[in-house]
Amino acid sequence: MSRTGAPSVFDVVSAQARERLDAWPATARALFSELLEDAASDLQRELLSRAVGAGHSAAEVHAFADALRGLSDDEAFDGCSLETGSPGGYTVVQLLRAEADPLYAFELKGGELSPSESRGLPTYQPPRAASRPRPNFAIDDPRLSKSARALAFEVPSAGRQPGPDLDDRCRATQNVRPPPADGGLVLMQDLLNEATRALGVVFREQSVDDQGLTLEVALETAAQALRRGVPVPVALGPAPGQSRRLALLLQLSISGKSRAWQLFDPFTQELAWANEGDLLARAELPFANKANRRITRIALPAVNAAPRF
Amino acid sequence: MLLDELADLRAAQVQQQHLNDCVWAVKELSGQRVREVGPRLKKIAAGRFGQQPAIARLLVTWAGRLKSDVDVAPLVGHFERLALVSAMVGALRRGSDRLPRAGRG
Repeated sequence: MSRTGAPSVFDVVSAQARERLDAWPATARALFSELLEDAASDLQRELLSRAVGAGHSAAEVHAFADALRGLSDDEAFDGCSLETGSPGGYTVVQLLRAEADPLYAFELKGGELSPSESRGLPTYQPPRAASRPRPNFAIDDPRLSKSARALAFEVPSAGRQPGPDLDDRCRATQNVRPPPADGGLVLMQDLLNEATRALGVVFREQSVDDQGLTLEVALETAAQALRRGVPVPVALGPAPGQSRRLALLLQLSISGKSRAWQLFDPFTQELAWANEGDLLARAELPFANKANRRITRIALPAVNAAPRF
Repeated sequence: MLLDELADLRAAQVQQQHLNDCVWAVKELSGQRVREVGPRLKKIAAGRFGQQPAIARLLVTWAGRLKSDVDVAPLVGHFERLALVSAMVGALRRGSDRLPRAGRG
């Protein structure tokens, strides 16, 4: 039963999903209600419910619902289930997480959830339309309506809880709640995951020094990733919440007690080393553009494994 | 070295999928003896990547660098990292459009 005592679409969701929904703003709950109504079958409603229960944001669930809507039940089930005998093979962590999180499995199997390339204002499409408008949750496009931005950004997506299958390092990544200043504003996560999915690496982007994750903690996790051969994408800017440029942490050099990080700017092709102390000072980076003084966001690999091919 | 190789691949307009395929092929050589890996790399270069001269050249170059069995695992790791960085750089280039002044600020 619903909170008001009257039957509602929320009656079909699990207790875990309902707990998550309670933390969502009213606009996001209304959106989810519509998504459940528009879902083509009980199976799709169950998949959406599980995605919410797994801690995905309203924007992610919206995109997931859009992707599912055109599928038959068999296609949806296949698209959200990992086969242990697949050629590439999945890690135990991936298999276990996918059991509880169909959206994760969907993306891992190559399902497309990225917003459309169009930067235009979303136009209204009736329920059951092939492609309903959804917030472009990946960018802060000023042409997006205020309500669309609210849907995309106001939900604290990092309420996602790690399952018992995730190891400590994965947990360290996922437990950090993105801050509200630019929380949910994803600059690169969807693009990175789309690009590296075939290589078995999944990234989770977070803001740095903006209430949640500190740079000190972020660099520790980044160091673990680099030791496994996985470079770490970062955003640079003048202040927390003000990302101006994207770069890669490519290597980590350790000499005694001091560490140095190699940064690569793919746009200017600048390649430079920075002492960790200088990074932590948040005052200057070794690039020509001195306005970008610090790391403002970081995309940490969420799977504790070397690239899987 | 890795960035130089990436620049060459980019100049040759090698697609990410081909690079991923290359990694798969190299990965199959994991655990093999160096005397087998070198010739097999050259065979892969001439066969599967005969139409991708930039990748073929890379494979042959690395085949010539192999000296002992312990070189095989780092070789595989290098190609894995090459593909990963290539994919990530492409993603960051696309992502820069989302930043103020398209990431040039």
